[in-house]
Amino acid sequence: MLSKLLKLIVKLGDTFGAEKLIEISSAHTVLNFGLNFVNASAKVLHQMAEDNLKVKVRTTADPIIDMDYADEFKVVYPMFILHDQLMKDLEQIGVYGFTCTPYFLDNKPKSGDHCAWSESSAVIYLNSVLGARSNREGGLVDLACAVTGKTAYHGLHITENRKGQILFKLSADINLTNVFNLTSIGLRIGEIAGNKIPVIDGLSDISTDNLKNLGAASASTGAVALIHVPNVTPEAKDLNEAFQYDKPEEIVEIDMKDLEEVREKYSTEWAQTPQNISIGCPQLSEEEVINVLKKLKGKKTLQNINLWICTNNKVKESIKNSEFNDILISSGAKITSLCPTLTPLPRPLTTNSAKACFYSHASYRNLDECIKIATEGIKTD
Amino acid sequence: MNVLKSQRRGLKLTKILKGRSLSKGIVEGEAIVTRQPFSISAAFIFALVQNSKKCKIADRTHELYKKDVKDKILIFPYPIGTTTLGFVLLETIVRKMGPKAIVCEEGDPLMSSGAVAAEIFFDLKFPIIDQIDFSELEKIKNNTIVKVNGDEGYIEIL
Repeated sequence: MLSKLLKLIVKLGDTFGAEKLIEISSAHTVLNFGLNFVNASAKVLHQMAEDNLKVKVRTTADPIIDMDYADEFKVVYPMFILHDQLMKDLEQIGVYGFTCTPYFLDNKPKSGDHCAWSESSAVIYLNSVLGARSNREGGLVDLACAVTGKTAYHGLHITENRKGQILFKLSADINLTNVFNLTSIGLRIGEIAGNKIPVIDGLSDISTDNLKNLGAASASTGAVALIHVPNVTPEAKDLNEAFQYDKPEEIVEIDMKDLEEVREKYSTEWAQTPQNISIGCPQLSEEEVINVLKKLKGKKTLQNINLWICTNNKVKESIKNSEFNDILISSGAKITSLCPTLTPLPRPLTTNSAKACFYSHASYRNLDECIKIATEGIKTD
Repeated sequence: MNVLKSQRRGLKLTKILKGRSLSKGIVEGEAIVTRQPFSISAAFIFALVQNSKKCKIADRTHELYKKDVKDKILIFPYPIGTTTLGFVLLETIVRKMGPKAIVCEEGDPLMSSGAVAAEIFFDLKFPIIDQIDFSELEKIKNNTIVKVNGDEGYIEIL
């Protein structure tokens, strides 16, 4: 099995012009917690566990089922037929974590580290925000790299290939303090950039959390794996460095009209009040959860609506043991480690996440509106 | 650059487009061509979850939405979307429920990984060819019979 896994890395490396294998410091894998479309990959993973293979580097995996809500999901959870076996096999080979934001746990590579990560939103965060280096791995390659401790040296592992290609300028009519505009910018950039490397000028105040949300959107509508933001991301102290002292291949301006267009294009509008509202995809950081809870203070979620606050297990526990737990309980919101995009939440569904809206046929609203709908419903005149 | 040549096959003149092989296998089938980049995950997951006999595209933002691509030669510029595409493609190959082959202008290791893993772990071949200019690929009309040769890295328009 180990030789087959190595063959997978080498074959792909040969095709894409890698001259050598390199050591990695970290890996992250995605197996969509055992929906019935990972049967083939689960078979290979099971064989790895049977052969007693172990990961050689820190390796985390994407979210799994949240058993705190087994009652709510008693119809849905049986769809994850491979869940228990996957969990067992992943833990057997040494994988842990179970979040799409492993960098909020202890899987946080340093600038310049070579890694083998899958999960498009995590890869773009790793390359852009952390300045570590990973191609968009997946399809068992991430696990192959984890147990061999190696990956092929091509693509984004090579400095020259990390050069910015398209310069995005933001029109003055966009209010950049509005997070909803930032995630919509992400949707638009993904569409235009495709598989190229965008450089966004004029975002020097963006937080790393919002860069996470923007990047996840670009990695959904495009195959973007690295975004440079001058003054924010580590490989772009200014525009010149972002383009490695070369010229952009293309310059594109984004204005408010573009953002309205992408919202209309990707949002699925429902006539009825949503049954489910999900906040966070990628999962929220602790600061983001606290921000949501502060907005919920003194409010109560309507009885027929579930308001899901999606984050990792560590943050979930931390919030439950904090002063914010009172708001959580009184608001009726549900904090969870589940993935709102992979869990088939009954429709109509509303989300503040550009990524979840793209994949889940949900209506796309800003956070304040999501909370308003959850606590007041949709008013029809 | 692509080497374009024509050859006689029986009495008919066929056209050959040379590219790069991302995975092995030789198949023939009807082409379905889109100019829009393609998210394999968004397109195929619903058909997989439902264990469908067809492979109807579920990505409602795509011009191929609701089109059945089972057994087709799927042609698009380049793949996009989340990294699940590697094992989603692997699963469609193992279940034999998706297209027979993929041809694009610019492939990536992620998409290739699904086909290469199918060969290494399941002994199944699914040819993917890339590095053919899309200006050539888009001349191929839907339903044209195309032979994809992943062993040697070319397609032949029959």
